[in-house]
Amino acid sequence: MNSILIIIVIGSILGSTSIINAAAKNGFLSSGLTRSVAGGVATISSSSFMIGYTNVETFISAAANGSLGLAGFFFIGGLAALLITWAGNLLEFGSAIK
Amino acid sequence: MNEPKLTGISFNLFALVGILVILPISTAFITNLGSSTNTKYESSMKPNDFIWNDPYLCAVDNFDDYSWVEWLDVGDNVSQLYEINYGTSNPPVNYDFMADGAVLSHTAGCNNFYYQYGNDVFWGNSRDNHRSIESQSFKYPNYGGYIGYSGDDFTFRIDENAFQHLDDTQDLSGIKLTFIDNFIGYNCDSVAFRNISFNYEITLIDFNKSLSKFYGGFEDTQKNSYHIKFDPYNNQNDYCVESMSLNFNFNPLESIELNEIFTDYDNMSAIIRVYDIEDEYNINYTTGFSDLVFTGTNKHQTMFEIRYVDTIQTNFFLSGGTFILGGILWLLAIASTPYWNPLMTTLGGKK
Repeated sequence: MNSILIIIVIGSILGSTSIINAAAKNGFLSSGLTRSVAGGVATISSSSFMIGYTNVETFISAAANGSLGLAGFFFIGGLAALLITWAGNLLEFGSAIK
Repeated sequence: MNEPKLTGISFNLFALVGILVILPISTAFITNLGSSTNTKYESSMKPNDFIWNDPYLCAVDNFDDYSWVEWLDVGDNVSQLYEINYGTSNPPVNYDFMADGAVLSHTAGCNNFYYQYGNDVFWGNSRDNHRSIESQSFKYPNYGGYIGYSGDDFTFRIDENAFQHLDDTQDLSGIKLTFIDNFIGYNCDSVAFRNISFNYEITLIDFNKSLSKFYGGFEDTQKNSYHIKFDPYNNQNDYCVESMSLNFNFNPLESIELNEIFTDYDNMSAIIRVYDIEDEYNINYTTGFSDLVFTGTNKHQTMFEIRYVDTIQTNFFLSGGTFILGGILWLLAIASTPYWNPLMTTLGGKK
């Protein structure tokens, strides 16, 4: 089951990355989106095949730095709450969602 | 009949996969929405902006008031005299004696010289001092001049003068520099034109040099040609000249940031570096062959284009989109607890 889980997760990452890349290459996205966003630093996702996540990483970083104002902190709070809840569920109940 | 449609493990997967897919797409959508108010690029200077002996630009006691573009690093260079004195060893060799930043080899703002092709307005002739490095000429009277190799790394400064004609009431969202060499034209299908790839970066600096902001990671592959539909100076139609275009397309977050830092564009300047230039036919720029518009012995012309963005609308889209996305994450977090489970109820998942 774990191997299927890993395959599905990797498939999701590659799938969404491919969608973002295809959108960027075909001019549907601002070219700046595949670069690091000001106020944010992309380090994990800076390799070319992960470029779809560059924007996510720098978006999160920009939100954390205050570049997106209160809405950014609200977003960071929501993301943190989600991850903490899932981690807590996983530890307590053995599954991420209860 | 009472079997859940999604079991625990499959629902966990559903949520995880949903986040992995939805998060990058939604953040891309939000930031892209913020770019939707960008205007089109326009030449920053109109023909009427070029004034002969402009009292501001021709204050010769202040060198910074005399130029549009200054070359800070003209790349590697080889002259016949260099070879006589130092041999013909292949690069990389020490070219330190080649003075960078020669003061007379930039586009001067003291004249009213410009070229206009359609709506595109180019500053008059500029050199990157491969041909006439003045300090070197003084040092070596028999200086042989440029013989070809230029390297793949160049740096130049766009002076404050270039930013004088920007609209301070609007917010900058892009800077585009296009170099052309209009001395020789070719058929646009000529083999002289081919794809070149390069990386580039920009550092924006205020007048007192107390503030600066670096934007890197730009890369492009483009055909090195500029199409002239009608040449009013030679009364010719439809030909191409060598070109290179650097498009500093700032994303919405960058636009907001730089417009917070630089409130008065009149005081801005920019240092631009182009590097890792590769030519699909001639990666090593072999001696005797000039591929780039600003190498070789000819002068070149420079167009400085800018575009603006409606920051209020951009902020609205960014903040609004981020807030909605944050709200969805909060709801998903709560829905992941045993206390509230609307998704499981809706989808009939395991209780």
